Amino acid sequence: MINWQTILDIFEGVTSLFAVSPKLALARFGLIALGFLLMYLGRKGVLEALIMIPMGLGMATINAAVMFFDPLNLHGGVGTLFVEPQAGATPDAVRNAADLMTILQIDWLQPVYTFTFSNGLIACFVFMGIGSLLDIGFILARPYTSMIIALCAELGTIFTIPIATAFGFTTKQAAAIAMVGGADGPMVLFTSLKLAPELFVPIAVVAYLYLGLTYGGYPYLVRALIPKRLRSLPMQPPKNQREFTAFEKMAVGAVACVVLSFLLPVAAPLIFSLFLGIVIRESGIKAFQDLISGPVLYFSTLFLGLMLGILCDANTIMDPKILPLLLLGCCALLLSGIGGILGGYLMYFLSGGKVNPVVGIAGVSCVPTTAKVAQKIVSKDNPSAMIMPAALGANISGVITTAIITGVVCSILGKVAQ
Amino acid sequence: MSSLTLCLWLYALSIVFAMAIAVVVHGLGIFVKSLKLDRSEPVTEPLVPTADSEREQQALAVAIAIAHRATRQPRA
Repeated sequence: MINWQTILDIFEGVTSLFAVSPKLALARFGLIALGFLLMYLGRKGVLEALIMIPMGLGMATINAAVMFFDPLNLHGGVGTLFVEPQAGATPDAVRNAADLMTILQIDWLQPVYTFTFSNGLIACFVFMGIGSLLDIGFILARPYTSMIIALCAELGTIFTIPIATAFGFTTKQAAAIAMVGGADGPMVLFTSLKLAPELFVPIAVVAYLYLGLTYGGYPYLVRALIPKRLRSLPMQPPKNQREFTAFEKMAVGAVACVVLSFLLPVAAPLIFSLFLGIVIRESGIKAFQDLISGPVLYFSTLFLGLMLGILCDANTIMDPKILPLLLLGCCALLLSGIGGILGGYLMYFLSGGKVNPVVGIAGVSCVPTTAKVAQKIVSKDNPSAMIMPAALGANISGVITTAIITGVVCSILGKVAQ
Repeated sequence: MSSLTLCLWLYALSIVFAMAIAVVVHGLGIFVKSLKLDRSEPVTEPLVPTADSEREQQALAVAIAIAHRATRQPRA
């Protein structure tokens, strides 16, 4: 017979609210609202739309679509049909294989998570796409200026480590969290997989959440620290600047890829992916460039945003370790932004007032977001000032310095017990 | 080793590596420029791997077109 209970059982998304703690139920509503907010801010252009729109929809939906289904008995009898990031995370290898196979056959986004997200493949795809949009000529024009600015913009990546250890995290976990300050999503994923796999999901979520926020938050930081007179400073191309042909850029890209991989094997997959994009761009193989700068880049960005939203379920976000991660991620990006601006000031004084200090914010290697942010700020104060080439040089150097720090951190801390 | 000392070490190492790479990039720029790579004949768009030359690719395209026409039904 159909009774009231049977009807309620049909709508498990609603009835499951009463099967969990009130705190978790409220968190589900809060995250649904946050998902909508992210989509709205993405659509308005306050946050990066490419990540925020799929992420916001994923976040809202995953917290709505909870049902009485928990095949691995991990969440007290409730779950979803989307993804189970903890499948295969037990110390028992045989059980892991069985759990993973079960979940792969059930959750529709589990193949994307297992085969592209948790191993960093999607990050490499994004890097290939970004590489195919970058012009290495910008860094060849000002290698030292770009690198010094980028090094200053790593302040958060470095100095968040002692702050995180003060919060009670181990050195490895602290280094993985501090990598958020590098503002380079793939590097954050890679480092957390290497040094703190137990924090992979929360770190990835926090990192990408904040990378989206840099788009909205950094302009305020720049305006607070740099006066209008300096923000509107026009920049001239460096004297005796060499013009590089596509063939020369391709040769430089290929050799730089091998040299960097030789020096930093731990970051080689990401370095290779980035330079593959650069080399393809300069090689003239239009079909490959169209493929990786279009379908590959946008497909991986879409699924990256979607996966991040899907991973923001109430169970993960209500983890007691998330709140300190949110604070530390914010602290890391703030320190990096301040460091970048200090680097911009340093180059302004060293060059005798020829470098606009706003370029410093582009040293934070969120390619090409921070370069776009820098140009946008300058254009608002002086529409004729063009700092984009210098900003992109600092931006690309930011990727290189983050790769260097990833390599150094993984090599040194990888051997440390805790 | 305290975490502050450790992070200062990490930063120092990163600065050394980054500046070394800046020197390498700068040197590479000068070296590649000196090679005068673009003096050779102009580069054509690379072909799909199924054809070894442009002529072969054209022949392949013609053969495919002929085969396609042969299999088409005659118009009523």
